[in-house]
Amino acid sequence: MTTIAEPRGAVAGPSPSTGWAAWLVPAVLSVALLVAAVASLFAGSVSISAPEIVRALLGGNETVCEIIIWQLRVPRTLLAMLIGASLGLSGAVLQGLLGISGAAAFGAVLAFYSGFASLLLLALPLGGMAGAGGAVALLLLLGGPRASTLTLILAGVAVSSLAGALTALALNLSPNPYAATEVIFWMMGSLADRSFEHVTMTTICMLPGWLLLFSTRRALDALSLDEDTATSLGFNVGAVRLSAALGTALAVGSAVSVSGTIGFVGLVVPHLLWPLVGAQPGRLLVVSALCGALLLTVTDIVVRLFSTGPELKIGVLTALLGAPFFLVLLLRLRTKLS
Amino acid sequence: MLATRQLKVALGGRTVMADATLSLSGGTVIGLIGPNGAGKTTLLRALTGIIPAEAGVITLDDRPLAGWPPRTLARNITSVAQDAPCSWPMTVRRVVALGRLPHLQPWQRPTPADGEAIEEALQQADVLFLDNRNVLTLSGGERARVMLARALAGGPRYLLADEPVAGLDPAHQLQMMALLRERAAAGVGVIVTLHNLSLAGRFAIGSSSWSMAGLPRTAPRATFWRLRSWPKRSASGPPTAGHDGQRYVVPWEVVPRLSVVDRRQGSDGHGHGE
Repeated sequence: MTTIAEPRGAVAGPSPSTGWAAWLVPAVLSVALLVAAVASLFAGSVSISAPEIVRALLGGNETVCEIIIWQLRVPRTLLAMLIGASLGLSGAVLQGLLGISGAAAFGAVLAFYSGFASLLLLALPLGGMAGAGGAVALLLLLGGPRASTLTLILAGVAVSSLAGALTALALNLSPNPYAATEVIFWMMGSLADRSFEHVTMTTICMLPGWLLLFSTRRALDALSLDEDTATSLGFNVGAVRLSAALGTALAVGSAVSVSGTIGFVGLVVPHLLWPLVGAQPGRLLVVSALCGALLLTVTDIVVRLFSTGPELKIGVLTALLGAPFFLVLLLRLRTKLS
Repeated sequence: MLATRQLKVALGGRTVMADATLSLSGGTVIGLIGPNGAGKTTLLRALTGIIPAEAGVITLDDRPLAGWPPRTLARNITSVAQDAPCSWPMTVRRVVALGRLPHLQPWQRPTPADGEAIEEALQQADVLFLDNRNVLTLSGGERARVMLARALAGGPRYLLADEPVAGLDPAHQLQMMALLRERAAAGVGVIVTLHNLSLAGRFAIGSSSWSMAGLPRTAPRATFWRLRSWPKRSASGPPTAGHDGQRYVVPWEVVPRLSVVDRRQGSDGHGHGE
């Protein structure tokens, strides 16, 4: 299957392997993230000036300003960063596991990831950990040894259909229109009106998830060669898959449980970044986490800037931006191949 | 010493190989030939610890493979997979650097020693001039050498190469074989599977007499190990061609197998140049 679509023209780019160059991308992303995070404190229906924000940040929970900053904006910014980082990180790990050299593999990741994400989302209405566990089991089963690209694409389609059917079931069985509306809103994703409790809750689940995901770093590098070679380099491929799946369930699972579906971040981010890290999957992780956090923070600012009537949901915006981005990417791959 | 005793390997319930006994020590080349499905690749995978033995044992320095920590094992034995693919457009140097992974602790950064090993491996496999190329754009011969360099970068004591010359032109086949023999001369134990009988004969039959022009005559001894169901010699024997006082088998026509005795003979270790 590997013969279908290898982007022969795609060069690994300049190789920032040594010295300052290796730090350049993460450094730039970190600075940008910091700027975006500060900017995000300014965004909202009430306009608050910079000195007021600083005073509020240093102060307590008394004035209106302080309450808006501490109970609305700071948690929202933190959540955007945490959730974006989780999505970017797990997206990078998944793509590292599945490989990326070609349009077909790319489609597989797309189908697979969106199916997986929606299954994780469904874990909420359909019973927490059981749903997440099911999604993980399915991932392990489908990503099994020698799964071809075609298998993965078809598996992705099947998982997506299953997720769709389960969503319909959840709507079908919802006891009243309000419950149904809640499910629908959940599917659009939002970071509005979340509290510090949400932040602590997600962080507790996310941190072990991140650790598990990061622990696959070297193994992902080895897996850019075939599975046998990775094993002969001393890695247990099964254990790596398990870490990736559990890590994703923890990190993305806790993310969507707070925000609802936020699609495409985990897909777009690694794809934007891999040429910048010399196409080495292990080095993609940190930058993907940073870039995911940046992307979601910026998107959340945009959502607030353009919300005049009903709130524009962040998940809707990421999908609106992400899907065309993918089409363009696919077109570019096609021209390269022909 | 990497050795097997009465090794039996089954894949999906079917016995692929039984009673395989061989031993490989440093400085030796074992050429492994046999028809498709004879279990050559399976044997190599078993020797790398990728698939478990159904019966019998595989030992490294008299200790069963399972008793070694995976990373230590990986530092000692390395394999070059058949048609080894790479799924990302990495540079050649990065691919070769992957061979150093067994030497790194999970969170450790590569050291200058790793850099030197990579440089050396690039040189040994004659791919230094390719070091900045995208590995997906290489020709078959170049890629085979890059994968060899990847294996060499780990500084293994045993190198298992699965059909490293498949799909290469004659010049590159000769070059690959010479590279493997050069490694053996440097003390590495090499097993190489082959379908090219003349090449196998050229490099593996006989003993110290198979040095090539430019290489010392003290080149390591090679053994020629027969897997089961190699076609028995017909009454007249297989056609051969000769050069420089040695005769090489030339595949000419399919000879009916006499498979009854083959299995026993296939496990005797060495010495059968037909």
